[in-house]
Amino acid sequence: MRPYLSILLSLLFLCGSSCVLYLGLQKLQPHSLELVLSLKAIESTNIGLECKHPGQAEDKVDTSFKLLPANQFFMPLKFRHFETSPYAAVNLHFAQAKNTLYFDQFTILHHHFSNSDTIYKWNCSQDLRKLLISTHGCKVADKNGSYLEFQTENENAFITLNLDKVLNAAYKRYHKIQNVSLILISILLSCFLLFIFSKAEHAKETCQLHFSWKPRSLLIPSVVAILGVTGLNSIWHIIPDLHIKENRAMSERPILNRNTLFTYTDELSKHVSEHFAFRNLFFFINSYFQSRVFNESALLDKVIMGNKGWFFYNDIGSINDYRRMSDLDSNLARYIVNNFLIRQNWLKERGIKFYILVPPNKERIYPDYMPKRIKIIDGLGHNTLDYLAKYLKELGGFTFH
Amino acid sequence: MVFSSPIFLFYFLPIVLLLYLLAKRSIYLQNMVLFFASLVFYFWGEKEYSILVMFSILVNYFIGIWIHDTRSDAIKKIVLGVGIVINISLLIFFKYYNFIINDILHSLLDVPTLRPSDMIHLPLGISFFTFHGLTYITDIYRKEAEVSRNPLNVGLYVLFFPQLIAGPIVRYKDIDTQLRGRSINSEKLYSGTVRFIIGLAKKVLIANTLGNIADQIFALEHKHVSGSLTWLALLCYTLQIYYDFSGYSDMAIGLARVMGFEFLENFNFLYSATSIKDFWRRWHISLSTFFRDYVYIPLGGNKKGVGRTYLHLLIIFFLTGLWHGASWNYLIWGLFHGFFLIIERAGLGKKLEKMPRMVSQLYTLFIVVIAWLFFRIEHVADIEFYLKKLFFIDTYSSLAYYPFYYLRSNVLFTFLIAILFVFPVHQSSWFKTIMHLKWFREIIYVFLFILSLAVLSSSTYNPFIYFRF
Repeated sequence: MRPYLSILLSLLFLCGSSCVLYLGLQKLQPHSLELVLSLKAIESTNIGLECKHPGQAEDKVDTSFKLLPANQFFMPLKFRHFETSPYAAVNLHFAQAKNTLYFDQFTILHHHFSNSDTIYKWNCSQDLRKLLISTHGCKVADKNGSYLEFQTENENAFITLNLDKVLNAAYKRYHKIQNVSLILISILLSCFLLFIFSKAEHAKETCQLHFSWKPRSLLIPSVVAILGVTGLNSIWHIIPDLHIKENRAMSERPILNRNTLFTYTDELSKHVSEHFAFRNLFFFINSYFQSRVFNESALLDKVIMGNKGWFFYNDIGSINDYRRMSDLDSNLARYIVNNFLIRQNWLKERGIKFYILVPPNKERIYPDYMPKRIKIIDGLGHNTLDYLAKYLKELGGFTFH
Repeated sequence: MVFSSPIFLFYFLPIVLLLYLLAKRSIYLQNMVLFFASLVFYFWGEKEYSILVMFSILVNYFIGIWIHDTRSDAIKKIVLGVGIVINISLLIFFKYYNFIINDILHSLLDVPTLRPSDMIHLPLGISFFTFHGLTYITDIYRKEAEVSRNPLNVGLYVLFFPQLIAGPIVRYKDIDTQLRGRSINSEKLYSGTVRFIIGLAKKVLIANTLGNIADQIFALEHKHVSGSLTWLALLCYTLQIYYDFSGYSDMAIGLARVMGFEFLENFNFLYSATSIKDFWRRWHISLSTFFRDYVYIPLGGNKKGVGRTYLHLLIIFFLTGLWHGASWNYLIWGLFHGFFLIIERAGLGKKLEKMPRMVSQLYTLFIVVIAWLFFRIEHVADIEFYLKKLFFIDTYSSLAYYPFYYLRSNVLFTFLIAILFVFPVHQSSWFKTIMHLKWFREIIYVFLFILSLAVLSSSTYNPFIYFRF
């Protein structure tokens, strides 16, 4: 190839790459918007987000629901949206007849390629009108500017969020150029591959394979069998795995489309790592090996193996508590006691007695079975319950049974 | 995608090896399979940034041809310069942009620091593929390697997945002939598989276990940190970094060998080194060879007087530190090594040669272990704190945590095994006697492989287990 042609091609690719890197990496490609609501509910309920588009028939409106468990501390609910057409209205549904919900903050994240930016954030210190247009079947109260309280009256209660402008502005900004990066990447990749394969020369040499089967060598057949059988069984699930319940929602198999192109590989990797064949068997082997040989758990960061086969939860908070290293200070203890007193008085006015029931940590009840290396330390802190009990007795006048 | 992940071991690797075997009649097809597989491998982790590696391949391919076809030496030199500038610019922009703005310009000229959304993402393996590009064009300029008019070969050289994200840095002249023709036989297949298993076990069974201990101790509140704990953390990190990096290199060398390629060794029992100079002949050999051949010797090496030699050494170790990461602590680590290398060159080296081997080994180990502290601790202020702890200048500690709090039976066993295999025990007679029986050896390898997979699968477990207690 002549030098000037090679310079030209290099420069062309350089310009193309620069454009893609500039356009693509500088947040011009909206793959999706994620709406994150920080909510708390007294009763467990489904929360639905409904995004209506202009001219859309009522029965075709897509509403995605997420479960909000009861009494979780302002749990973020995430709704991912790949839709790129403008919105007419954005409604948030509370699908339970009588419930009290607390609303803390609302964020919209913009995901582009593998990055994400916050493009909108509302919290209770801001004007309520910025967030809400109207409410239906529920009452709203602003609680000291720290959160909103919604009391739903019927199961069709919903609020209309003032977000269509925000979302539409984001889409308007990105819509015209949303495909540019993807097209450019596709063109560049195609050009690159076309170039490589059109110029690739058929080498005269061949790869020489000299295999001689060694019946005595079991290593390679074993490795091939382990990898091959595990790989194939991960696809067809012919041989059943051990049944071990992990007690959490495992990831779903991701779907590949234009919008998920840049997140698909991560999601698939996660899915495979949670669903590959004989995963439980492998885990069992490790668990058995660690416990029998070393008297340790396979999940070192979660489980402490105690004496005589006792297990303890390896949580830094509860272990520090057991070791009397909790850093709960007098101010916080006073604050907690004060809160209890407020509740006690409120119940007293209604003729109800107030009891506090503390479920203890396991290591508090069975300290004899804790491993010796986890010693109780004096003089660094204290045990939360003992410390709090002292304040509850002295300041609150609570009695202990 | 990393080698020690289920998707690589159970899907990617078997599929690639199967396709590779099916394409056995033609090296062209085999290279095509490997090239595509490497592209998928890189895209899997870096997505849109795959463009960078494609750009690097094309630019270096054209520049290679241009250098070769140009008759004028002056133009050759200019073209080489252009190539070097492009490759280095790519590296500087993607690896050092954030560091330059946030650490250097911010402190010197009060330039505002970058917002998180404006930070430049560091693409995986950029240090490796830019260095591959550099060696390719430089070797052609020096006429040490034949120019490749076949872009598939250049592409495969830069992208080849076993060495793409963590090396070793393979020089084009070492792999050129293998790209055009290679052979696979039972011995290669066997030794490659063994090497891969050993690498996987090093990474999963040893490096991850000890790394976890080092991480836990370095994450402790300062009031809990004692001198003995700092030593334990530092020793764990010393072993972790060796087993992690050499494990990855073993896997890369093993995988390449299974596919008929031979890579040069990257590690050679570095903690047996008898001087810092010797250490750099054993640690990340491909990188130190690169800096020696492409920077130190072109600068003039040791032929321009004592002063210049020392300056060249400092430059090399400044660059070596910087290459490992865009942060002050890596620079300190590099210059610390450079400083001791200069001292050795100034006379200490000769004295060390005369001393008993054990003494010189202990000296080297001490310097290297202390240097790893600079490598591990990112904040310079923390380095001072840990140094005081290491040398028991600051002896205050809450005593809530102590070495045996972390050294549970399995960790202690791993720690001892790690120390044992840091030295060349495979050359000792007792080890040879044990491993002499082939069936026993194979059982050990299969056991290590299954155990590595078992530990790997445990790392994917994340149950909500509190309800059980």
